Amino acid sequence: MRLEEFEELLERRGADPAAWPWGRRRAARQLLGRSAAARKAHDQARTLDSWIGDAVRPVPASAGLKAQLCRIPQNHPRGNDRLTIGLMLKTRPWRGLCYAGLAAAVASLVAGVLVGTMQPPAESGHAQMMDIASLVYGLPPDQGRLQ
Amino acid sequence: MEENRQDMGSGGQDDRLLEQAGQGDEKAFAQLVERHADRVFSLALRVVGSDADAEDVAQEVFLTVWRHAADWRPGKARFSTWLYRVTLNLSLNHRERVVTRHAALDAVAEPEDPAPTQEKRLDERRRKERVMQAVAALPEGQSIAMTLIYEGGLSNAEAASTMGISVRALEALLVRARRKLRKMMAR
Repeated sequence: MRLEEFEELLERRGADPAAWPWGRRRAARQLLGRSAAARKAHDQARTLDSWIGDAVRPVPASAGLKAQLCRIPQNHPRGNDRLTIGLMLKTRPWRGLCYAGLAAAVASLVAGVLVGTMQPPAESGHAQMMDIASLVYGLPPDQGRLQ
Repeated sequence: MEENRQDMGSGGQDDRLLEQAGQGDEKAFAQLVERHADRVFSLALRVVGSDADAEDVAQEVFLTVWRHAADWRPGKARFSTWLYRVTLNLSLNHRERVVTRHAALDAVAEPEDPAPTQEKRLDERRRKERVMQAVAALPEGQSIAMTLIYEGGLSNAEAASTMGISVRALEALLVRARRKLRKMMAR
């Protein structure tokens, strides 16, 4: 590996050898062993990484915010229908199936009304819907707005 | 394949907590909050620029997690990568709705005793402060890329996925940022 290639590696991947591609690590280490210029460039990159790390250190969320976030399940209950139907399926299967079917029918009716009346998602909401879709169906990530 | 800088065991733990939260376990959800709230808030703050807006974004992010925890499919992606992507998208959405743009974060230098015997240390401190101020002033794409790599500990591939760009495009952002910062360092 030449010095210029090593410097480019440092710019693309940083100073941590663990972030270098497997296939280039050995050549990079060999260069470090024989080249003072490479060692100097590596030292500078390590210092820069350290300073950048200090600059982007996480700003911790406040205790108040964390407490608010932990209250989300209480403020937005969502498990009740599933829990009730789940228990019914275990204890009284036929009644549980009836309720499950009724819940599905109601959900379909509501969804149908929503689809019929809802405007197409605005561009700003599209990314969020794609995130949720990728969560459920393992779709590839949406094309982002940052280039 | 590029190594992931994050703790290899953390992904499995997140999967377990998500499964439990998906079944209504509020304690499991609280553990997810404890594990990820700082990074979500921090990334949101970097994009939206104010504590209040970043808190709003964090609320939206974790509400999304709570509502869809039952739908999580382990093995498709790391939860933390998905979480960063949701945070980024919600932050950008939020910023589009907010009229006022808040000032970016600035590093503030503290006065130092310029005794001749500490001159070298003072010089290094000044160069570091210039670098930190330059980090705060980076263009948005470079700033977010640096945040995901250095603060989030993501690999280049994961950061690229989070931003919805190719690895090559991400590395171009990192190269531009590092060159700029290295020049600050050398002044």
